[in-house]
Amino acid sequence: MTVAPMDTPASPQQTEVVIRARADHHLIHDIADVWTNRDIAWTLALREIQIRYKQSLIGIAWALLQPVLTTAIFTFVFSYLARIPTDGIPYPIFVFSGLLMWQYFSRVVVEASGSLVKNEAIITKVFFPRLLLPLVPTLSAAVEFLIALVVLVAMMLAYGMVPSPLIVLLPLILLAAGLLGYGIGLVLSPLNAIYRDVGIALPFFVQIAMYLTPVIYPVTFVPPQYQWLYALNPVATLIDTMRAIIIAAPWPGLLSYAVLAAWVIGLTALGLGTFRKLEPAIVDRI
Amino acid sequence: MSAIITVDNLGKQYALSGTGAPAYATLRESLADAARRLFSRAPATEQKEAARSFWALRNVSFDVAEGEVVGIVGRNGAGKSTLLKVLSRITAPSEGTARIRGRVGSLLEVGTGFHPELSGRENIYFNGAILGLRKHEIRARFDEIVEFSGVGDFLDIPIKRYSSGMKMRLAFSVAAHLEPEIMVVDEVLAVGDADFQKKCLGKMKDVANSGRTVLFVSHNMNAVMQLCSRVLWLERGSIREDTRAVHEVCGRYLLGSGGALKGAYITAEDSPLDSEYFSLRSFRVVDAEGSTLDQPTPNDRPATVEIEVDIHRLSPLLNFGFAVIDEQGQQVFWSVTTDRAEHEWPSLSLGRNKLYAQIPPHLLNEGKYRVDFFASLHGQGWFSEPGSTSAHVQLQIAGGLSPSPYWRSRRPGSAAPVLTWHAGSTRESD
Repeated sequence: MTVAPMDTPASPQQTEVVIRARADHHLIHDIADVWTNRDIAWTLALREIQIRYKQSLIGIAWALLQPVLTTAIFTFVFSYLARIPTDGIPYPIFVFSGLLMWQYFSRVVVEASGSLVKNEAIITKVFFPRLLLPLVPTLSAAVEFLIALVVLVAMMLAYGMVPSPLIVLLPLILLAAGLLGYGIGLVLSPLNAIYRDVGIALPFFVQIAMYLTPVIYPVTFVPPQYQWLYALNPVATLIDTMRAIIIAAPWPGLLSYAVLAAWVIGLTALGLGTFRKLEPAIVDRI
Repeated sequence: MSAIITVDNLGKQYALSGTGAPAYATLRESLADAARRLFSRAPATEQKEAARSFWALRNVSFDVAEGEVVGIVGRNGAGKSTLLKVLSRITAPSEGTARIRGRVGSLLEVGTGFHPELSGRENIYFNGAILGLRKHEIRARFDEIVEFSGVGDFLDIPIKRYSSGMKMRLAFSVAAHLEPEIMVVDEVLAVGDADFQKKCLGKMKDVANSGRTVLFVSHNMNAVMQLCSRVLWLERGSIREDTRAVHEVCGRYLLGSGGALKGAYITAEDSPLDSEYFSLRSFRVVDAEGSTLDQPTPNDRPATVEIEVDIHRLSPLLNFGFAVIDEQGQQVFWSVTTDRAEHEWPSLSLGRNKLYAQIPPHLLNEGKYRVDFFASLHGQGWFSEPGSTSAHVQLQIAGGLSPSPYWRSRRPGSAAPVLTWHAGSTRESD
């Protein structure tokens, strides 16, 4: 057989790793590990996208068709039948912009929560920072978000609306939504590995949460004495911000952003804490 | 000091759920359990039992120098795989530390992370990334990986259509081309055809020869002997032996233990072996005087295999025999009571029978052997098959090879017959 040529090994001193009991690990090391292994997250996200569309007949068009069909149905039901007012914005544009954001967020929550169970075969055989796994859906779902965003812009042009240049701020909103979903995923993914009920119940609660979020109706449709409640809903703030940017809807108040920031920070911290506490046990149990 | 791996007092504790509960539970079960515990005080001991744990690895310390090839051997459950999992950071230790100076490439299960829907090409990139390679590094090695795996023609079809052999070749190929400073390999040689095993061994030798460090778990002592310069023998989670006398330790590992040889298998003391047709009483290797051989015996003296059975039912199909197996696990020969012409068979009678056959002098080479008892109804099935679970004894041949002044030490081969040489011209016409 042919002897494969070998490079001389890099100086081993470069990468000393000390393996020790889990309790001695520091958060900062774990986060640094995530950063140095970010290639893996990208690879996993790309694989996710490849797999999702590989076997479907219409491939990537499915990413467009789904929100478009939903928009059509919602427009029929909530605009034509229920006549929900949308502050002068054409209902399809209104609901599509909300759906985009909601679908991104809910996809991240559901998929991040299932990420440990789904990748069981890998995590018991190969080492890489497990914190990466719930992060993958934030990337793969962003691709679908961007595809659908193109459709939204096309729809707006068809209605004679021009997107505001503030659209460049969208990545920031996506980042906040991704972090929110990631935080929830960090809490739920180890729980899901222990109690499979979590994975069963989650889609139901996500469905309900959509109706508590101004996706299909504007906050102004809600009786004034309850409107303050929406400031507590971080996804409502994100959706309203998205509409403010794209279709010049009113901006949420400063309080809403303070609450959003609190949610992002709180959930990420809670998530990191839960995940780091439960994850080692899960690798041994799975 | 050039230790590339320093393991210090490493331990790994696993929780045992006493009831053999599944790895995951439902929330309902957990809640019900909690409620039950709340309302009954009795099963405190049961809880303790459930919380029982065991140490898969304990007090393990060793250093590995750069470029060493270390074989890790031990029975199932000795902690080999746990050790590799800790060293490749898949699971965290419960105590102690391990310092690793270099990138670890681990191949703990072949085909890890392959996705059935993706093509071979896509899986190479994914697998490489998961094992720690950057995209450009994979690209640089891609052709080499494909060539070594020999699946070049199938690169663009989904992995799910690959045979398991192809999958494995591809996985090994990716891992072997990682070029990590430390390569950790668990039992890949247990699967795959002989050709591929040879290729894997060759590749691991290359890796070792290029100065990289290899940790290699295997039950295949031949491979360990060929590849390793050092052996760690794990037993019940601890290091039983850490030695560079690879051949010697592999031999002892195969024989089961050090010390005196086990020359007799007595069913009253070992485990019984009964059937409708017979009960085995003892199985022994004895010398010319009839006493059990528990010491090495020279090759110029006969060793006799002796079987004592109580026969309950007679059948012309009933036969007994033994198999001689060498240190590498190769069967050297079998011998059966019905090997000769029918009228020369030993006649069996109901009740106690003593059957014996002599292993002639100058047949086996020097070395340790296992002699396995077996019995069958000819053409109908085994009562006891030759193999690791059957009744067996040990036999060691040492010295007595030949009176020749030129033949003093062990020659290669399993047999060491002393043939007679003649001089003559009978075949001159050739």
